[in-house]
Amino acid sequence: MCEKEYQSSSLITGERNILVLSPKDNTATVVGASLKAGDSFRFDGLIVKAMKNIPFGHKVALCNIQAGEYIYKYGEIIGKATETIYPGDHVHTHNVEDVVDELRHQISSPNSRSDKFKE
Amino acid sequence: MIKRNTFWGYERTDGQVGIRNHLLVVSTVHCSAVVAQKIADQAGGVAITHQQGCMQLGEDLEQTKRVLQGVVQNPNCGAVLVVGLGCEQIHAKELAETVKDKPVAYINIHAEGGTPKTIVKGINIAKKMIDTISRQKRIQCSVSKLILAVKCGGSDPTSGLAANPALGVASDLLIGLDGAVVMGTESLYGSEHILAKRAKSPEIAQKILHSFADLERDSLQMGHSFKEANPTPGNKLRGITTMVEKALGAMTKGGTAPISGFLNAGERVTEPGLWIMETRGGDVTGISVQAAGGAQLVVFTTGWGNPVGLPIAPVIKVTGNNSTYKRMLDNLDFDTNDIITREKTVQEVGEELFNKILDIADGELCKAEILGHNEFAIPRIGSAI
Repeated sequence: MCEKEYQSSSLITGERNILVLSPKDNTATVVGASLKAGDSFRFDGLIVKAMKNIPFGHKVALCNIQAGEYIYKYGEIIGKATETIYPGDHVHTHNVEDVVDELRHQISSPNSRSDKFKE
Repeated sequence: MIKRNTFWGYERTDGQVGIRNHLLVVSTVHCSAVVAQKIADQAGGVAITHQQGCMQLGEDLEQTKRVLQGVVQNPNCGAVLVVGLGCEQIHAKELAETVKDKPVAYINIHAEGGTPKTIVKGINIAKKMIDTISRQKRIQCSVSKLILAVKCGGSDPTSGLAANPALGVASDLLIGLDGAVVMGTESLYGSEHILAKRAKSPEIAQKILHSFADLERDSLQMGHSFKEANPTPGNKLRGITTMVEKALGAMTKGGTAPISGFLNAGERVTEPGLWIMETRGGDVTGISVQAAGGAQLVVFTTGWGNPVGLPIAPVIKVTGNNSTYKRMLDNLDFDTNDIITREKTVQEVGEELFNKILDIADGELCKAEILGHNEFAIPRIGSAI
């Protein structure tokens, strides 16, 4: 999560060419035209400059994310950074790993049929 | 927007309501598939053919039986002609006997003396059935009679941003009117930590978690991780990075209701509410087993554009990707792009989609029906023998 808690009054905020789905998110999704390297957008009072070309549908970092920190979209954890990610970076398979096992193990042992489910 | 709570359907004697009134010509086994297809083509029925029905063991055989029984008991089916070979594991007579409330018959290729004789006899039976069911009129029915299958395939990030959330609104509207929604597991790997918490009971939560753990175990037994196949290359190309991201985008299509139960592939939905069904495999097996569970229609969201349909139920195609919508207009029924451009809210588009669903239920044809997309497949468990 970004240190700053962004305010959002609806599901979708942000400028027209990026969508931020939750105030918890540290990534935005590029919509409309793709972002070109050097393109900047304003988000919650900050100027974020795209460091690379980022295609339609792909994610752009909104703040610094250290290696090992979680990536958030939809207000939920979707992955973990494998290297330091800077604002305006393309966030995708080259710098993010999946966290499916970690999330599953938080609530249940998949090898056990015993009742380990907890709310 | 006026929210409808009725549609025009075909009432069955067991209380179910169909939105189509098909004569199904069903092959019990791969060996009778061509004969079943030719009868259906000649007599105005729809063929249900597949590659299973023999040389199957245990749960795998039970699953094939369950799916075929589910299909012939689906309320969109007005009459059934079962076509067997005669020596297979799935008996035509037994399958026909599971149909209680509508015209039904069976024939076997061995008993009739070969392909031409079976086809001729089948056509003669089928044309009488078609004549009978064509006289049935639609009546006004409560939407509580609807079981909606929700599915996503060929996903891109617009699926999670627009198409699935809009479908989620429609799912919630239907469940709010005492209808049912069934969502398959195949797109949900990676969201089980959230789904399990939404289960109505700890037992249902355990079933959800075990389903995903079993998938992991089975793929490891094959020497692979299922993460190798998911997200797909197409998902990644369009910007979906992880399985968790894909699943979070996919799970919204079922709406926000608590999860009423977990079903094996093709098991019947028995109550209103949101159900999860095990749907391993590709898109066609997924929608086939959901229809076997009693769903009268499917809403299928797709970012890339997917053409598949079912012989027994409309498959309504919804996208959030406007360029896909324009490029594949022949296949796609509904565009949710107004959510992404922020011209409309998710709620507004979801309500429009709900009305589109009821229009299709009333008899309006979806694109997959118009184009004759009638894919159908039964999944396997374990290896072939």
